[in-house]
Amino acid sequence: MLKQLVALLIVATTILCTKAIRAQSSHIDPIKSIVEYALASSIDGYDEAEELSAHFESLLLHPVVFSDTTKENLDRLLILSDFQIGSVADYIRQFGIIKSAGEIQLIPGFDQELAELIAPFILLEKPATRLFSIKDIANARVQATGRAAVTLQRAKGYYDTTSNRFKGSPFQEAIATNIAVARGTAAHFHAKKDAGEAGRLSKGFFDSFGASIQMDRPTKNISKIVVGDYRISFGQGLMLSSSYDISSVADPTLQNRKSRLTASRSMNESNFYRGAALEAVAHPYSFTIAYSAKSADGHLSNSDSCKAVKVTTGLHRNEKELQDRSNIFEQMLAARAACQVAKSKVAASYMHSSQQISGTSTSTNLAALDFESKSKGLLIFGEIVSDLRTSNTLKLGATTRISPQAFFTASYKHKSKSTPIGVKSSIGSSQSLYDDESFYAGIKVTPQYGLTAIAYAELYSYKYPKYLVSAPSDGFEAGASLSGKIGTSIECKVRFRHKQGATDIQQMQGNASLTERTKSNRGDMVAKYNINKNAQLTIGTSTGTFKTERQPLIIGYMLYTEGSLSVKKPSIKLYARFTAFDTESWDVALRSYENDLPGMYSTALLYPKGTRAYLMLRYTPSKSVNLWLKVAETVYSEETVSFGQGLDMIEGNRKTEVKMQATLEL
Amino acid sequence: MRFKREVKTFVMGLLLTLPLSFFCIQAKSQSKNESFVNGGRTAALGGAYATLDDFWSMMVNPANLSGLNHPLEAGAAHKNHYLTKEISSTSVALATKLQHFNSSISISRYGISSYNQGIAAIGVGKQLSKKVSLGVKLCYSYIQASEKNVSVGAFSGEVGVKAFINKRLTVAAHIANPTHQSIGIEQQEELPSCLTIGSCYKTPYGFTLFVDTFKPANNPLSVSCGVEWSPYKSFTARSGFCSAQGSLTFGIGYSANRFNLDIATSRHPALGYSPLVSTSFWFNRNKR
Repeated sequence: MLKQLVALLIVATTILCTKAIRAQSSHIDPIKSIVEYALASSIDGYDEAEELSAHFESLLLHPVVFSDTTKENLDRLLILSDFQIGSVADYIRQFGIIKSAGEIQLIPGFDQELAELIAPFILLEKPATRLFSIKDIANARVQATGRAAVTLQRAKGYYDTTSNRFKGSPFQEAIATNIAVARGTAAHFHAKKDAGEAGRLSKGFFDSFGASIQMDRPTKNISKIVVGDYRISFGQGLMLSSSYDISSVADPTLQNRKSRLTASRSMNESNFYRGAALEAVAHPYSFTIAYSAKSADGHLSNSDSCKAVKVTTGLHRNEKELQDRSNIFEQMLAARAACQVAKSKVAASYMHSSQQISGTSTSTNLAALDFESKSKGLLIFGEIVSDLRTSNTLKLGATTRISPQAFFTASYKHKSKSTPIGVKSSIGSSQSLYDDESFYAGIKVTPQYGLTAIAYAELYSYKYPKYLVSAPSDGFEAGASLSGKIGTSIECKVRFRHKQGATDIQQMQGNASLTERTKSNRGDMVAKYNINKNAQLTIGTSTGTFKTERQPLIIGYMLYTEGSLSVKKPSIKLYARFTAFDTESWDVALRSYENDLPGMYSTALLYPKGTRAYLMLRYTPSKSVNLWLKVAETVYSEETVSFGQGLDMIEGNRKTEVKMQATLEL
Repeated sequence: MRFKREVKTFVMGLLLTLPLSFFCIQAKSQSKNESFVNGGRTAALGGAYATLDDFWSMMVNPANLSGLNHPLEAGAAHKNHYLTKEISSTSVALATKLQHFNSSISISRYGISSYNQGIAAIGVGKQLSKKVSLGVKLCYSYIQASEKNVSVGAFSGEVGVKAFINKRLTVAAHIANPTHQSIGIEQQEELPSCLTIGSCYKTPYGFTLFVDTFKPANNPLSVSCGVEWSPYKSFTARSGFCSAQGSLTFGIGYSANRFNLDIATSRHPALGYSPLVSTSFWFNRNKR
């Protein structure tokens, strides 16, 4: 049946492509760029950026007016491509001025993470003297989303004969509602049931829920209020960070992190706070206060070499997972006061957090001082965190403009405290005081428009054992990337990274642990050909090698081709991708970032050998309705008899996923 | 300025394919279905076919069908594997221009009367715009073993896309059997499933370079590369290398008013030579 469906889709592809000739004025929906950007796993999302950190500092003082869609204006955001700028103009032309920061993610080419990233640096419309009014509610814009996803092959958990058997159906179901009100007020609600979970009647057949209300500038001195689920980060994120960590990107101009407060609209069941947060401004001062109290699922595990690890999944499919439900209770109170004078900013922060896991209670008090200062061509930033007793953590960095086209960044991190509990899967909190010391240096050059070269190196050391490394260790990582345009229609990106570290040779309890050096390389290359406004063809490859002192070199690689096509009448957008992969070990398993339904990010982990293909279709029957369908299939090599682990193991060599989503805008 | 543009184009071609070439070192297994004839031009270019525009490459990558220049063209090909009488394959094919697209039909047979296998295929291709063409193909594969009284068949699909980036550079992708169809009743054998990405660069010095990267689902990646040179208008010399077998290939082509003839041979390091001849005829006076 499925094969027939795939065959039908191939035929449909041909028909649609034939019809595409007549479509002239549509344009590509760059979902792929959105996903890659949101995942921040590669530096290829920042082609158009010449400078971020230093430039954004000035943007905080003089935000971009988003309703002014001229390229000169929106180009000030730097991270927006020409296409995204065009999308903003198209969207505003079609729907009118954007009414909330949350609505930005609805624009083709934008997503939640990107919207959150640019939100602090923009004004949705030119400032007016009028503040929030109850009459604005009448202009509310409502978006409702329904989603279902299923894997056609049954995992072991569905037919297990023990108490581990999954209690629910294999369908993942979710609904979400976004209400955007004028003057920057937005409300969000979502409910979700994961595959294998049993939806209860009393809960509307769902398993988890989330909601938030965000008001931007409700009064003159209050810049933002968020009630419900939210994400927040202070300073460089050493003390408090639950938001998007852009500094993980190896881009030297992105090493300076920013404080952020945003409502959480993600269906992720872990990485958020639940409570209330407020930002107030009384120039030159600004204040932030946040409180969170929530229960989370999880338990302590001793799988780590050096500490107990808090393990969470957010899944409630069987008795064992249900026992972890609400097993952890966390509270957090944080406050921050900042003062900005000219281009310098100093902030003091305090955070108290406590958590109870299986009757064990721990609490932490942290104080931090963060700063950033910009003079002509030089940005200095840093943060110092203390636990008010014996331990201090430090990050210092500087970005300098070597020339109008070149930036150099160096940063140093020293983390001196070993926390008793590590976070394996973050539960709304990223208390990152673990044991390491690192030095980062990187350079970014944009010799001409559309061409960017990046090179960086990071040295690091761990004073104490860490996961899978039972002895003190050190290593380094170095990488380089080149991205740019060849002609007007081809975008090319090449990236390489070399990493050296350590891993356990054996991990036997009571024995002295031995470690050995590891060397790994990763490289990828992507070439995108923008055929016309309606079609894009992408060819890419990714490779990885891994070697230890005792093991020979192992290699993994994948090769893929991808196409996207827009048709105006009927309004259809089609995405297709085919990937062939071959990896010898998990150490060189490769991730494939692919288009997915809005709000979902698909990162297929490709191992060991086979192919993966997907077709995704977006159909817009009317102005207010969007329908999405995605069919993805991974076929492993013939010798594969099963894949996946534990209860997620699937027999056979084929995994087929079908996803559907409907969005209604009122 | 012109030189800079040429360098850009050439670099682009290299970026598309050469980083994968180091995998040639380990790609020694039989990774491509070499049983069937893909034409003398392809065989002489080390098996590179994705971006070619000749009659026989149209039978492999349906996106190439957009390059059909004649209302009707027919051809036949024969290959002898390793100079062994019992192992040979034969193909016949027909391509025609229709009102909205170009189409082809081909039949290939490999083996002897007691055991043989073959493919019958119908393909359609269309030039979507000046810069891109697309094609799909429906294949019926069969295996007959008269001694065991076995006769099985299965359908599979293929899709190809070809992009003309500029006058010199062409890239193409061809996906065979993306749904991993199998053949057989009791013992099912998966039909070859693979992804091929190729590029073609026409140098300003009169010769053309071809590189295909070929990744079968169940075998390591391999690279086919070739060079083609036309010292005279109707005469072409070709040579290539296929990493899957570690074999060198070479051949010649001759084109006249109404027909085309290609002769090629490949040399396997252990098994020896495999000669091939293919021809095609067209039924109009358009120049090829």
